[in-house]
Amino acid sequence: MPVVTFPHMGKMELPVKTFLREMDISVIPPPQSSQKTLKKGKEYAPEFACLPFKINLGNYMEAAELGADSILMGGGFGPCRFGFYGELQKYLLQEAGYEMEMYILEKNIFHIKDIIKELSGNFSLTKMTRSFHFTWSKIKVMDKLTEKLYNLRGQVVNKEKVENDYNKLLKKLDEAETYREIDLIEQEIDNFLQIDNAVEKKLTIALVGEIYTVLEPFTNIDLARKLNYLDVSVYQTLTLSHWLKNFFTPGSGQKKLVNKAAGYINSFVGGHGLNSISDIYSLKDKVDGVVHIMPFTCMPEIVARAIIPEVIENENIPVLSLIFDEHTAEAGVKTRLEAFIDLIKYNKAR
Amino acid sequence: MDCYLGIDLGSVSTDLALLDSDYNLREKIYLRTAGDPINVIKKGISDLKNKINSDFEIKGIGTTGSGRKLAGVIVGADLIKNEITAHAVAAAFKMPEVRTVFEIGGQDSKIIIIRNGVAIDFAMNTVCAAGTGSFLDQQASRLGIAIEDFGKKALKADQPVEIAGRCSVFAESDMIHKQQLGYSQENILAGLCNALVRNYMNNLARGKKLAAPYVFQGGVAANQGIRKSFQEEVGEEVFVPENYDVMGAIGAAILAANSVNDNNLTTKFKGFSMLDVDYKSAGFNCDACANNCEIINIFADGDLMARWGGKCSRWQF
Repeated sequence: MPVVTFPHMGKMELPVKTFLREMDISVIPPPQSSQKTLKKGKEYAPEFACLPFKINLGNYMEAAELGADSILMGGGFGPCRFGFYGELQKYLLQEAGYEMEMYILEKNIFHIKDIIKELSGNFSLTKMTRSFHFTWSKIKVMDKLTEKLYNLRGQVVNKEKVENDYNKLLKKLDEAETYREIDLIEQEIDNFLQIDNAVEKKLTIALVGEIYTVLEPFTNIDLARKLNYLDVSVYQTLTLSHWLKNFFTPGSGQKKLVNKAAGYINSFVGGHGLNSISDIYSLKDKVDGVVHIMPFTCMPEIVARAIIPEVIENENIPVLSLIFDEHTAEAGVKTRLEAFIDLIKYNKAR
Repeated sequence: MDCYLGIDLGSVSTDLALLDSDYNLREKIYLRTAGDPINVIKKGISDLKNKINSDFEIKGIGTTGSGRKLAGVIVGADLIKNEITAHAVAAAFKMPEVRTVFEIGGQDSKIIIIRNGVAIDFAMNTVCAAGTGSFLDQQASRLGIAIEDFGKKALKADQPVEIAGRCSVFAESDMIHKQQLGYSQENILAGLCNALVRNYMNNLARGKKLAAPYVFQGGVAANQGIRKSFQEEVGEEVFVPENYDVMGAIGAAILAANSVNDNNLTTKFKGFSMLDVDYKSAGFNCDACANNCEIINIFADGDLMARWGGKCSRWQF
């Protein structure tokens, strides 16, 4: 029976594991993405491929060492190169001497069903529907939990306590086997850690940009945590549930996004370029500033970045664009974040 | 007399600025960091001690630059501030109506857009050497001229050559080509100034709304040729403040003074006795996870006084 692995993207590991186990598919998640992962991946990846490509390639290699022999990877279409990544990675793995089967999930539910059927030792359509449903309820709670963490950790003095509570609940969610347990966790989120020791002034920054960089702390050197530790709450519209919804129903919500972008951008430019602009515009009165992030060579976000100066000028919303690549340059990112927060504070005080 | 000290611990230079309570500059010290930040801070403080008499009393101290945290724990800073904010504050203090700040240092460059005395947008280049002082340093030494004469010579150009400014490697080969064709050194130097400014504009100013008055500061502002290229590029006067080379330190001193005075604090400055303390740093690689973070410990006379470098809170001090 195949032993399945998958690329990391933030906390996606939790629902993917849940779903595959529900489907009686044996699964070995790759070790947490690290410098070692990246080092492995970039050895075989093309120089100009974006950071997610290299990390994911490293993910497969590290999982192979633990015994995985099959990969589930997303496919797709559109101006972003992501749709081609699975195919290219398959080829590169072969070249590097890894004998792994690559299953690319195209955006078509029947096609996905066929793949799951092939992998599962015990498949039925009812079972798959039930597993989807159960996994989905976990994803929703997981997103809620992360939203709470990003919001709360920026407002309290004792940040470690919030982190500990978050990790405990996340572990519980990972282990939950019934809807009842998931419901209980959801209730716990609502009253987990009341703010008893709040920071002086509350600031909120929205995090927008390319979805992998937004969701994966390893690529953005844990930007949300860094901002939280500078006493800033973080808000983001891009979540795993958002991404999955989009994956299964491509093009949905497109019109709404174009409307929300208020004429600054009128069409889908691939990836989340449209989302970035529409988020900046529609959140301008709800947040104090926006940090816009992308991996180096990300075409959709370069389009967004070209539009941002006009939005800053007209709408009076501070936006900071950051590009991430193999180099960490953590000190430089910190300097910019601190300066950006000063900029927001000074402008508010004026 | 009450005074306030700002220290800008950069990768290339370390600057100190001592201001009186009206924020007039009383002393300035400019040192090469030379890869030895701890000792260069001590050297700076000791030079300062020799320059001032006992009438001067340091009431507040601020640090900035990429080594701001290290400088801060060693001297006992009241305020540790990033260099973008420090430069913006200093520029707006020297020229309240400023709207655009160009800053070029040894290893990085910044642009800061200011409206009504407050920064509203900025960009910083830390990746491309073609837009920084080290590029000029390198080319000056290649042509065998002192960096101090660079600007003066460039001003004498009658027909600056075209040099590709996108990348320092391309620029260099382009320069060699022009040199072999027989162009004068003056025209090549002026061409280099234009190339650097073009690179700066492409990297940092792209999409930003530039508006006069312009201020040009940082070590490279000493170069008259670069200033002239900036003026031609924006078509306006570009002002270089008197103490352009220590503006970051001035900003840090002003911010420290504000912070101490607004909150009625006494300074945390350790005093000149810190010169007798033996500061040491030692690092190790944490092996708790695959990130293998490099953790740095800072010791004062053998006692651990600060620690950083971890991605998580495991080694939080």
